[in-house]
Amino acid sequence: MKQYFSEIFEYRYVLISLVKRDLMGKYRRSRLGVLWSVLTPLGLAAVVGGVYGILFGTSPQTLIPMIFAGLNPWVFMSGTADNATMTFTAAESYIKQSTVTTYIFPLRTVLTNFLTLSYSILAFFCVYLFFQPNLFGPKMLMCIPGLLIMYFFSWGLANITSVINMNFRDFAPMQSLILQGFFYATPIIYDAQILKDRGYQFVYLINPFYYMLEVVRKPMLGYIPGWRCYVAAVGVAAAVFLVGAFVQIRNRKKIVYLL
Amino acid sequence: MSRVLLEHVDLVFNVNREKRIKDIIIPGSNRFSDFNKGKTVHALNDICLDIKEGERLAVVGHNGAGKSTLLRLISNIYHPTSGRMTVDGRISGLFEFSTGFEMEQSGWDNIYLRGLMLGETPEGILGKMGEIAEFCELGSFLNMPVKYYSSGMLIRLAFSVSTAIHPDILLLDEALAAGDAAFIQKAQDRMKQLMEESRILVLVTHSMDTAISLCNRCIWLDKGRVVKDGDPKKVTESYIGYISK
Repeated sequence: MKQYFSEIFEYRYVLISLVKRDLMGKYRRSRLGVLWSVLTPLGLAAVVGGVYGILFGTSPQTLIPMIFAGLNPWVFMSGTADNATMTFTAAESYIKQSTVTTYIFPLRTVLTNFLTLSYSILAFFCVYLFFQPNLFGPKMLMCIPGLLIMYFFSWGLANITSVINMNFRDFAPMQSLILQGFFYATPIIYDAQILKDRGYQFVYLINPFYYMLEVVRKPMLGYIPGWRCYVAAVGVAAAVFLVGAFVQIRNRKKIVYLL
Repeated sequence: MSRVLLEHVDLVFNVNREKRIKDIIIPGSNRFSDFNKGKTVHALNDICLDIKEGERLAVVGHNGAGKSTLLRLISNIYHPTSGRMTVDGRISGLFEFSTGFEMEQSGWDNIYLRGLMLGETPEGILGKMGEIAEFCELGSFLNMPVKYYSSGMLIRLAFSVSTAIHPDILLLDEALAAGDAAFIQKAQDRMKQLMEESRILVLVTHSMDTAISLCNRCIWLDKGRVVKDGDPKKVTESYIGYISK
């Protein structure tokens, strides 16, 4: 485990340089550039919030921020898991040409997506100030530990999915499907209360993504999640991270042959 | 002291022959291909090799003899399936020179990233940028995205970076084939200069003249085995003799 981190540290400059390139390359030649990473989730939240506001009669004023605060972290987690399946293949020429450690490539995916998430969260705060000025306050800073938990969870997830996909190429489309299922099963574009009212509380209580979302979304909206929620989130994140690191270490020398 | 020591090294590749739905439904539909019978390729077979400081080793042999695999093994990209390998010294390798570039990025950015990959610090590589730019003679082309480069230009760039970091062990795979005459001359001078600092060079080549003029030792690989090891002149002669038979 110590070696895992020291190898990443050894190639930290390569990692930083790759992440920079990813971020700059993502919106190459586009006019709005990085603004898109704010506009896309904002627009999506507006569309979903507007439609649901009409369908369920909820006020868009509370619904749009709630969806925005849930959707962005979700896009981060599922996007990371999705992108991670391709991370080694995309870096094939580096892995076959140099001794750069394979550990940095899943991490590269996580970091790139995490920075994109940070932009959109900053944008969220600016918007939220107008929507709900009375809920705006220092409690929101509690989303920072939440984001850290989510970061380690996603890092672990990326470490696992990247290796699975190397051994089993049908995994990527399968995973997309599973994540799509989770998207609807997790209270993201609707309130957890709806499931609770109908006696389907267990659906989100056994869902690891739910806890990850809660520790980020609640503080972003100006509430503090309960300590049980934190215990569950930290537990899940730690377990996923450890498994992920273990999988990476076990497969360190095999990846080059699987490309 | 730089040294490369291989003791009874074997390298076996597993060849993925994917099972398709067709193979399951129609058994024997693959009987015309025996590729999937042997699922492994014995790329290097019981290699014993001791390369000491100051040695310039040429590796010759047929396509598929295991030459490039040997270089990748020494540079720690592939790992021995069995046997022991000890490598002392900083390695810089140049394989498949046309890959490993960020095609959308400029030449400067690629120098920077390649330098980092070879283990340089940002300050270290930035300090060497000028020297690298001068050596590769690409001038204002360095401001252009690499995707517009010719293969000769790519090889200039890659070779310049790989040798500028002053490696103890330099591994080159067919590296100079695409360069023009002037650059090949320049590159050979540089390799000789590196040798004066008493380091190790391993050069995979199909040019017997290069092997003789640049190297002081030569091995001939065939099917993953060392067939002959010794003076470049003698080894290349017997290799040529073998193929013209």
